[in-house]
Amino acid sequence: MVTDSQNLSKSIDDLCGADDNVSSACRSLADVILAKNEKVYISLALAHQYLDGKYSDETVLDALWALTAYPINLLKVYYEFIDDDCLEPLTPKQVSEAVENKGLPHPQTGEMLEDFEDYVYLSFKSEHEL
Amino acid sequence: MSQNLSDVKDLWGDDRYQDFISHQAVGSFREFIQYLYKEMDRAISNVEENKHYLFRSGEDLITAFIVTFLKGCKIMAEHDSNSNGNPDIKVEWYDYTWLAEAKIVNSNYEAMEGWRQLVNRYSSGSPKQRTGGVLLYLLDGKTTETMKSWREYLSDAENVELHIEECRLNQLCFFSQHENEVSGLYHCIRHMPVNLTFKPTDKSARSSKKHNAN
Repeated sequence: MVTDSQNLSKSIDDLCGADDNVSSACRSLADVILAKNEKVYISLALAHQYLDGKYSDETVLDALWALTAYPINLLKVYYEFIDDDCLEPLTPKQVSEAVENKGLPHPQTGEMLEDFEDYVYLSFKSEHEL
Repeated sequence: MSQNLSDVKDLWGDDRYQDFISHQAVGSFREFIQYLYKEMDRAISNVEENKHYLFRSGEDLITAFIVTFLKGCKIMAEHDSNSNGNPDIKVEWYDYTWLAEAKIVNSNYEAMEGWRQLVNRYSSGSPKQRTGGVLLYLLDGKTTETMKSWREYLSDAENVELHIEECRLNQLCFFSQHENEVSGLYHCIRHMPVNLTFKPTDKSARSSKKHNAN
């Protein structure tokens, strides 16, 4: 994980350099995460709040993605399956396999769901307490 | 408000959504390499879709185009960075380094120079630098024929014992494995064609040619 500001800034430029908006959103989010002295959970909506609603959904998601990537590694993706009766975390591998196979077994009943993407929610959490 | 995957897919479109999902699932160097090769193939398709702009632009610009694409997939890629000289592409993932050399190829000799530069100069062949790629930029000819000829030429090279393997991800590519001269470890190189042949024969191209000749 890169935490010193010079290297962090370079890494953000490297991974988002082609898009100034993404770089700028990424930098602001990194500042918020590093300023908090506790584990952070960030949804897209919360990221928008941190960024004062200045960027589009697409830009903010792209910035969050960059923060999960090597060498930045400030965040990890966090998936949850949520329906009326069930709330279960899913690993990135389970989700990737489900996307590839176009189906996810329901975490409790095992029933194969083709529309699983409607029930899998994503947010991000900081990898370590900072 | 939480975001479900359907929302993300609608927002990003299929390709980018799948890139994100695959990237998040990478947990080992082997998985990273699979992700890299998938994205490399998409970058190459992108170059080929834009060959009318790129076919005369030279090696560096084409390589820079590929590197920019890889960065967009959140891959730490650099163009012309330092590693015992300046390999055309350097990709880093934690302690691992993947290097590639790109060549505009008019003959197998040029491709061989690229391969030799990569495996004997830039790459140390150390345990975390044992994979790489050769990008062959073709300005003329059929990809399958060029790759067949290159594969045979490489297999027959003197003083190198090579093992060739098909690429399951892309039938136009292949892998070569050889023993690194310095480390003695096996070194695995993916050979990737980028066909930039651009010879339109439609009416507009014919009149443009005529106009240029005058």
